[in-house]
Amino acid sequence: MKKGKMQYRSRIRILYDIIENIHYLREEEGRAPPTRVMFFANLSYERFTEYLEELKNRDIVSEDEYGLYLTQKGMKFRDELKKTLMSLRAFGFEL
Amino acid sequence: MYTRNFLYVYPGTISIIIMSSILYTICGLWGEATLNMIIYLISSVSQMGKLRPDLAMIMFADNILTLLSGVTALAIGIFLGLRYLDIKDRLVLYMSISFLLIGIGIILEPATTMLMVKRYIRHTAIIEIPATATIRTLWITSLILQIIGFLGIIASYYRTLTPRDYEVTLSALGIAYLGIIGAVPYLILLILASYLSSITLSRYILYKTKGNLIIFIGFTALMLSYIMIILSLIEPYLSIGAELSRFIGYILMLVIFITPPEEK
Repeated sequence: MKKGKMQYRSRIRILYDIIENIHYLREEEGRAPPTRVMFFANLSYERFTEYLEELKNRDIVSEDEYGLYLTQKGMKFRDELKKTLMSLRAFGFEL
Repeated sequence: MYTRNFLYVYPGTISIIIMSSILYTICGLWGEATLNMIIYLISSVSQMGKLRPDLAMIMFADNILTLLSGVTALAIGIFLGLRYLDIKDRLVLYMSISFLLIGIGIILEPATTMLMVKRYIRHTAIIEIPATATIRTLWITSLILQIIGFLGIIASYYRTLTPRDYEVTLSALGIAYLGIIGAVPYLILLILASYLSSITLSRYILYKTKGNLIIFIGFTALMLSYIMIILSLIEPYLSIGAELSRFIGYILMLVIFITPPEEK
């Protein structure tokens, strides 16, 4: 009974969390291993793999020996995502 | 498969279709009353089959402002539609469809008035001429599209509402029901805009961001515009203020989408 309502997280928010964590880890620590990104994005393995596959297929995220990184298209996508998220938050949506 | 996906994509699509059918019937009756007011307005601003220059200018400005509001709402819808193609988030899609419907609805308003003016000028001998079926349909469709658009925005908020918010929504829908049976369709739009204004005010009180404030002002401007539209049935000059207020409301929302303010 004490179980609280699960915090709603929209797709846009999940995508932003993944992208932002990849960017942060790569910029700050020089490495962005998928497991660390998954941990920081607070996602289950299945859901993370699903999103990552999609981002890789769309050439937004790529992988090298230092882990995941954002492609040029990914950097543009990050800006778009951030702008949309800010606009929807201005409307008062809890994403 | 496609139909199933569509029904899944837009929340409450079926209920919206049923509700819009009911609204269409009710607004058909009340829309007629509003349309008669417009006919009266056109006949009062015209002399010998020609529009009086001073009042015609007001009508012209009114229609231009309405058209600008419609184009702005449509631009928001298209802008969000393009974002949806990239992000594929359903909330963005709902908002896009809602603004597109509102935009088309608003654009139909001056189109209807212009058709009516044209018809009036053509039939100079008759003082008040009835609207054609096309004009009636356009007019009612315009109001219905705007109502569905506003309901769509409210439905988008539903996705993230808390149980307490649901209670508020239910009471608001109760008032909306009274609005439907008791007044012209613009009153329904006024109630929906007031509801969105109160949601955004509560979000501003909660988060206190510049963006929340701008959106609150935007919805409040829409609310004021519907108050003035209703009052313009008594005082026609108020329609300019109403359309200006509506235009400001949509412009503020467009600004938020084009240049969202940075959060701390």
